[in-house]
Amino acid sequence: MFRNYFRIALRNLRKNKIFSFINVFGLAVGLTCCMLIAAFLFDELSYDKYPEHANQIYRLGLQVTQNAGIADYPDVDVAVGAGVKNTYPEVLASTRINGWNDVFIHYQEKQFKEQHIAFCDSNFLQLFSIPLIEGDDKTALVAPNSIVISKAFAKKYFGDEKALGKALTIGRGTFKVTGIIDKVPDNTHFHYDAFVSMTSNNYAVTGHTWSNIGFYTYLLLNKEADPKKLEAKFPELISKYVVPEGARDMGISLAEAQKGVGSWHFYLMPITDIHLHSNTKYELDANSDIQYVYIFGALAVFILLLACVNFTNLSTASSAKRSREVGIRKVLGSVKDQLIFQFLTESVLLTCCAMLFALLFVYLLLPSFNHLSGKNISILFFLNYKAIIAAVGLIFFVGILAGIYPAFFLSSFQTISVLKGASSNTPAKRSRLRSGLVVFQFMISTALMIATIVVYQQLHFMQNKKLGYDKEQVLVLQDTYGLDSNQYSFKQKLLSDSRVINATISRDVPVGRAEGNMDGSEVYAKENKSNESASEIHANYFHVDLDYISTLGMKIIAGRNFSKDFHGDSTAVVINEAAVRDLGWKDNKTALDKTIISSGQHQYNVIGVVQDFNYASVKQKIAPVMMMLGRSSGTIMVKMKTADIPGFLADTKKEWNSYNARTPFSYYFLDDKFALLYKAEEKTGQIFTMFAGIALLIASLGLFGLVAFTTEQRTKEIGIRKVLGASINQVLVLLTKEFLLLVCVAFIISIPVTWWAMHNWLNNFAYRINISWWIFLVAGLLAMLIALMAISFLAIKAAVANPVNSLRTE
Amino acid sequence: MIKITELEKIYRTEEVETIALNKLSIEVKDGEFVAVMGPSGCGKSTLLNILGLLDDPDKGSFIFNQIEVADFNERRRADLRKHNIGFVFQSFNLIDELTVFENVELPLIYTGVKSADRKKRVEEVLDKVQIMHRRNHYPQQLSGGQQQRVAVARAVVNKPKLILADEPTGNLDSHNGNDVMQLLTELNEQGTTIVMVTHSEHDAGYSHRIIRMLDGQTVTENILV
Repeated sequence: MFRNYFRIALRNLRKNKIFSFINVFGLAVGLTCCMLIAAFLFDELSYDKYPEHANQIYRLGLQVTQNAGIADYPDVDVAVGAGVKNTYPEVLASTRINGWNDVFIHYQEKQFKEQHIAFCDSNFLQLFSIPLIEGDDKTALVAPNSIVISKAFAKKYFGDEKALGKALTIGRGTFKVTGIIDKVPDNTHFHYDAFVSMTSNNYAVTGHTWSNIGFYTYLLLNKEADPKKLEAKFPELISKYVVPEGARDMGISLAEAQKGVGSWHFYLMPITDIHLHSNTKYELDANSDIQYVYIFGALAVFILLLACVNFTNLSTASSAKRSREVGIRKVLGSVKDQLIFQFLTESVLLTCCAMLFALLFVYLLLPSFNHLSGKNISILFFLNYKAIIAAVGLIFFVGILAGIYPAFFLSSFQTISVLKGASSNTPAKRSRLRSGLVVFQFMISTALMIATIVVYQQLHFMQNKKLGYDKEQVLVLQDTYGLDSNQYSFKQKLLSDSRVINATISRDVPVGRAEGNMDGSEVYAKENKSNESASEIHANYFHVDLDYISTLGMKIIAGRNFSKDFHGDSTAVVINEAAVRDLGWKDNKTALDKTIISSGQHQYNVIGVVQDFNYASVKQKIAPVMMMLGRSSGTIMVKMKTADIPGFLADTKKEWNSYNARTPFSYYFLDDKFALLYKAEEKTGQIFTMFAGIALLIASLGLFGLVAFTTEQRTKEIGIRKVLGASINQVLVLLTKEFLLLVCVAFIISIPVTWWAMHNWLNNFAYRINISWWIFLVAGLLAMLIALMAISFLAIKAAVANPVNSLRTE
Repeated sequence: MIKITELEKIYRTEEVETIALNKLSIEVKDGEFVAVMGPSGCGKSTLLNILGLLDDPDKGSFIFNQIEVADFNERRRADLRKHNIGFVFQSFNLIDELTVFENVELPLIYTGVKSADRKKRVEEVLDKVQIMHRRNHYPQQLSGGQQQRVAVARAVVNKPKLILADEPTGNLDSHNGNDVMQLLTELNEQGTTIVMVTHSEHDAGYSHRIIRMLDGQTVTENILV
């Protein structure tokens, strides 16, 4: 019996080539999307689940409620972890890690700048179940100046030599390699290539404060412990440790200090939640967002549904072709259940074929997908037994989902009428379900198209927004502190080059400032001294030199720039418009000569106001800036004017090397760094484009198939109409009207849904576009046009056919 | 074999009510060959459908093989049908996607006959209708006469007690038509009961008895044998 179903299914596949192609291809595309996204989601959801006691490990964080909202820190002060562990017996262990960024590491002649090393407590790797492949887990990170490195890191410095026991020079210290790890798993919320013993960090050993941040601290709770209950006990720690510290540091009474930290709140976050639910400014690594998991999950399901819809639509539309078979089978003794089973077998079989193609597609697309998603998913992921079981499950699920309606529809044909050949000549029944499904398909496609346009428009807006400075042809030389006191003569040397327009030594570049410096310092206007807590604002300090503003083409709109002619400029500041506004001065002129007091009780005199410039992503509102003459520096920005950039770079490097700097020559271009700011949005754009394209492709294929069947069924009608005098155009209208109407309806439904969704998305950006009506119009017309192409190909063929031929076939 | 009494079948649409069978009573004995004749719309096909358990009557009694089947549900009708009744249609009704062999095999699959057994029985019956050499061809590759021989083979492969034939020669030329009638006669001689609807007096001549219908009722019966 099964063999018979199988056979007839295969022969039907072969016979109806368009039908089979649309279904198999559509389903294959749907399944491919589904599997790739599933792999992506599995990876996202697998973060930090690998440690043996993953469910008992919590990260200790700090939330402080302020005027501006809640400041959320994923890290705490040096003594908090140990203090919590010693106070509460349900805390079995505590461990700390903090990053050590931008350090130069040497081994013999080799020197590299490292971004991914960290200090950590000796039990850190054990707690996170990262085993040493060489060295002793228990003791490797106990002694000061020990370092545990990854295999790749060892290879980089030591080549094929044995790394264990060797010494690396970091800054001025020497560190002994005491352990080798394979690597930190990809699905972890931190990624370091080397771990230095915490005991090497003097402050970590002697420090006993509670009121700062900087140490990422993890607690291992015992199995029975309730993190909520533990959290509830933390306020007593604040009274005991944080309050006296505050009173001492600020010279205030305990009661005042208690009031000041009343808004402090230590909290626990399960490590398994960090990747998708923690989104503070200070994460060890950029985390993802659970929202993306939902959005991608929904997209995968939608695409798959679109493909299923094609199957349902084409099967019911072409039912006439199978009706006689149904009739005969019934006469020969088949009952309805058997027929349903037969048709479901067919759709499952078809899905099976689609799955084979999908696996091929997955194999081919995986590298690009990894590139797009920033993942490192291996094809092996799809070949383990769990994935195979899931794939088989998917085949049955999709096969049954797509086939269930056609199966019931086909098997319920009346035996007698179909055997009389009645139904094959009746006009195509206009199925309301089929129309609804076409509307659904085009609604999704149009919605995705609208979303794509909005995303790209916003991206374009962000990339072309007037920044308030000129980012073109600016070379940024990094780590120029390595020149020590020669920084100034090096700058002079550069300025003497005719290809250089200007140059500036500073600490801060105006693009993507280090996130750690983004929160600003607390300052207030001197006239508000009596009421400082209410008038305090957060301002970002920019350490600059005299040429900063001119080099970057910023604009002074009131007062003056720094100048070597004024001796008082060491305490002078140039502030931006946002600072003027936030400090409560009514206009830029008023701000001049006013005094700003910082939390360290330094006083600054305002000498000028610079026009607001975007120094972070335009997602954020421009925050107050205070520019002051450089107390620390380390970057030289060079405004060039040359077509021969490689030549200029080579010359500059030569110059650099002649100064015998402690740091290697390293550089980037300001506009490249700027482009990186919007990488996330660019990816969102690419992903939407891809999905919109796929959705539209599947929907159009489905429409093409439907038209193929209707025109076939209406061949005779068309012939008669033409014989009676209908023109080709009239026939075309007849054939396309109905489908275009459906696409129209889909378009109209998609408008409010997308408007709402995209409006929400745009709310993430401080500076954003308005969604204009023409976006909808363009998407709608595009959908219509593509639908029309799918329809018209066959419709024209049918309309121009000679009626003599179509009538003779009867 | 068949005894129907006061059988009624009415087709209703929103506006029209058509009485297809009007208190019809007929009896067919085991081994009989009966022809049913009458103008279009007289109820012949409705009668055949009810006899074939493809449709149920609105009123009246239908005894098939000493069992009252008028109120059987679909599953029981299908079960009784597949074991006892074979069909031959005017338009052959072979499945285009199946070969000659597979078409004939189909009823055996539904009655659960084992694969090896099926092969033997299909070959036997194909041999009998002299179409064995075409066993791997598809219906479209055969002439009308050959297709109808396959249809007859399919109808008898399960060794049914009753064969219902709906204008079996309607789509055939006289030569092929005679062949098919010959085949049916042979089957009847071997004991199969046959009820045949036909427009052709010539074909009706092969039967033992002709029932003539008009407006859902029998008008005359001619006994030929």
